[in-house]
Amino acid sequence: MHATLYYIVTIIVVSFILFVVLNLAAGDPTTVLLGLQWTPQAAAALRERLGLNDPLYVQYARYLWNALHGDLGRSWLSGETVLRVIMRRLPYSIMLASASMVIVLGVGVPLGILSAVKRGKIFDWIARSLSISVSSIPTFWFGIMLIIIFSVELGWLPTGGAGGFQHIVLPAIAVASYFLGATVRMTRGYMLDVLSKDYIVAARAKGLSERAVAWGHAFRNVSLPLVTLEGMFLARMIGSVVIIEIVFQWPGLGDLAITALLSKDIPLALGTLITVVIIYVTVNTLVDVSYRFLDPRLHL
Amino acid sequence: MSPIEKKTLAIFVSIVVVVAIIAYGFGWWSNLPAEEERARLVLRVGLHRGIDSLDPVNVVTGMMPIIMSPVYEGLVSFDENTSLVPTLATSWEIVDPLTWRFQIREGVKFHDGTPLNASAVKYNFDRLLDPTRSKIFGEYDWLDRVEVEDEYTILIITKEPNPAVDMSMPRADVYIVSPTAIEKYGGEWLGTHAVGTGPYKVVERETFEYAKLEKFDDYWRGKPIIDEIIFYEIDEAEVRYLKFKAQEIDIATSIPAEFFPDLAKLPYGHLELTSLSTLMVWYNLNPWVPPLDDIRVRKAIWHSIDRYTIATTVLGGLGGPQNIIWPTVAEGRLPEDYFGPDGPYPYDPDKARSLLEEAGWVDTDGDGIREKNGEKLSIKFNTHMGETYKDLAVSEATLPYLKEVGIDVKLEVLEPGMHWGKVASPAQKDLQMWIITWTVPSSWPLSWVMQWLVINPETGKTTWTYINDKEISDLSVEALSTMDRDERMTIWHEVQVKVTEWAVVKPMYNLPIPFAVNNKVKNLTFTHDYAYILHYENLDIEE
Repeated sequence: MHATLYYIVTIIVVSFILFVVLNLAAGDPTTVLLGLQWTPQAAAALRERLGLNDPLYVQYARYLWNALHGDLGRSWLSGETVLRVIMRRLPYSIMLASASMVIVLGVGVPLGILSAVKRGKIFDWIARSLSISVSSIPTFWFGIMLIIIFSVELGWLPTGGAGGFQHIVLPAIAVASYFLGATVRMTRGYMLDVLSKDYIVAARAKGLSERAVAWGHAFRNVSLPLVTLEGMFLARMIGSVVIIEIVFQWPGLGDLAITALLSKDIPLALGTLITVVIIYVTVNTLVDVSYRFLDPRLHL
Repeated sequence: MSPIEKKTLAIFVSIVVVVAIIAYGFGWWSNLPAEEERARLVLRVGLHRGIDSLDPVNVVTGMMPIIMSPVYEGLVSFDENTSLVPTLATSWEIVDPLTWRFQIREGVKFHDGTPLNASAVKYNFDRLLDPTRSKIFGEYDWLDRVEVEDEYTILIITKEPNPAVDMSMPRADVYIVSPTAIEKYGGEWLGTHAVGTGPYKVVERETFEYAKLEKFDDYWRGKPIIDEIIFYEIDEAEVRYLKFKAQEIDIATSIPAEFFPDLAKLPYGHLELTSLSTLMVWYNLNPWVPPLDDIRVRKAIWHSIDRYTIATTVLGGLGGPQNIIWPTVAEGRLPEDYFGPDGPYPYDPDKARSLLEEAGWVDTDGDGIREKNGEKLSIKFNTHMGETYKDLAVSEATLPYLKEVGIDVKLEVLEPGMHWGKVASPAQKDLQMWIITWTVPSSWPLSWVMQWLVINPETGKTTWTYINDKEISDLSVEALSTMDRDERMTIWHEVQVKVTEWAVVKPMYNLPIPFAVNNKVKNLTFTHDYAYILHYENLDIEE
């Protein structure tokens, strides 16, 4: 009950802040919405049509009331319902985030563990150098390079779009590259910390194999902070990988939010940002819940 | 390999395989038109800007006609020489100075089967003029009403004598939409759907992503050759070009000049340029704020800028320097050499220096920037980061020229939408110098004149410039309602001379739109205005 209330209050508070900030920061949206056709008369008519002459608190109350009834309004530009646009884009964001997370977990976590186990050896050095290098490359440039090599030169994969499984490979690699370095470093750090604990020394003293020590004892204790970290990354992957979405023309929420913000399409921007907030809050709640399963000593 | 490494590798491979299988099972995301069967003739076009709405009377970006010109038609259209040709109207005539009669084409059907007639045309004009249903109504302030004379004849009645009603008819705002569809689905539905009379109909649309068009078998000019056209909206120029290079798209619009050498090497592609662009770039000055309230300073600024070098270097030779402030294809434009071969304010840094000295601006402390009464000669230049026309690069290239004559310029760079917002609003008193791109798509310069030269009665100011000259405003209004062509030309000439004397508007260059085109695309012709493709019904693709 407490968690549910926290969840709802957070979303309402954030939506209010977003609503106020967007409306104040956007200035007069009629200048963008009318473009070359902007005249004082056209602007006045449009403000009336969009309900912009009402006080801000009235506009927010109306927005909230409609949102509670499942109506996030219509895009000022295309006239589509905001909910429909978001529901179309959301699966793509989830797909890209999931595929990227698979790469991050499948490559980053094992590399981090092996780096810790082989601390100071050549493998550790190579793994750390590679992960830092990949994460340091600007994502826009990395994405373009992936397209040039794998699409234009080799012709193996499409340059972008969202037309099938092969379309997700390059954007997923590009997104994963950004989060890979942190995952390797943090996993390695957590593992090194745990591997120096007394109970690990005791486990080794009992004659357990290094594999059993690493996976059976150390990794289980690393999983808790790792889930927190990757949970944060997952939430960020869903709403914040704008550059990758633009380079690969991936129809995700990040690209949508930026397009809506730049176009001063406030209903669409607001709906998209609130969706991203809901995802953040939901993922964090799920991470909290998962603690209970990973460590039965914890109670929410 | 150690046991730990083997197990790690096994886990990794298993995860990847499982996710790949699950992902492949998500057939529902493969509904986008990337993998089309090749048996059908499909044309794929990569556009340089997203299109917000497909609704002719509620669209913001001027790009809409590029994807809607195969779908919608107006009463009249332009050919490749910007001459008027009958389209949904077969003929038209001036009945009296306030009345034009248009004969509507018989036997034309909308994509939903509704027949085209005079009532359908009137319905569209009524919607256009309704502020609650149209954003564009203000542009048609000159239009009083449309009346149905008989089933295939309409009368367009203007408030004042209007010599160029036919010139306004090719505009995308007056594309004719099926009234049945509007009544059935509502106006907002038209943001993502379209029911016109053109050779193609919209079958799928995702805003800012793509539009998929299919040929309309009952098109009145005959069935088109190509089965399907897909327009992809790809903002990033580099990505757009790479997509063209990978042959995923057949046409890429607005390719930056730096890709021209690479494009020339491609055996399967070539460059096409629209012959004369109506897209023009100006610099503007606000003459009501110091130090620009001194005409000598304004003239010095214009004399210090070398447009020719900027056009040939930054724009890769693409930009055509302009001497006359008037839009490129607008009627009454003074000859390009009217003020001399390099225009009224040719590049002459020495003249700029002497004008500034005459105005009392002298560099007393030797830092290269002039001063007067203890104030530095410093101005703010508003520009934007829109990549398509290199406005930012051009603006940056301008700074050294101004610095050279002792003017300090601070560049304020905004996102294009924000920049538009800033330069459109007359409330912005802090503007000093700014860049602006505008297109006047026909020889009738109504919207440009109204927005740039005519004082808005509500604000008492011009909307997109700070000229606010009553004489220029009155002359412009007079020209817009002068039926006699010769008389009108005389007034237009006078207006141009007077505006030039103010030294507030500097024509910089015009820009043809470069297209990368795959050699398999045949029978391609472009309009000048908006640079969209003409005659879709004749387009062909060699497989």
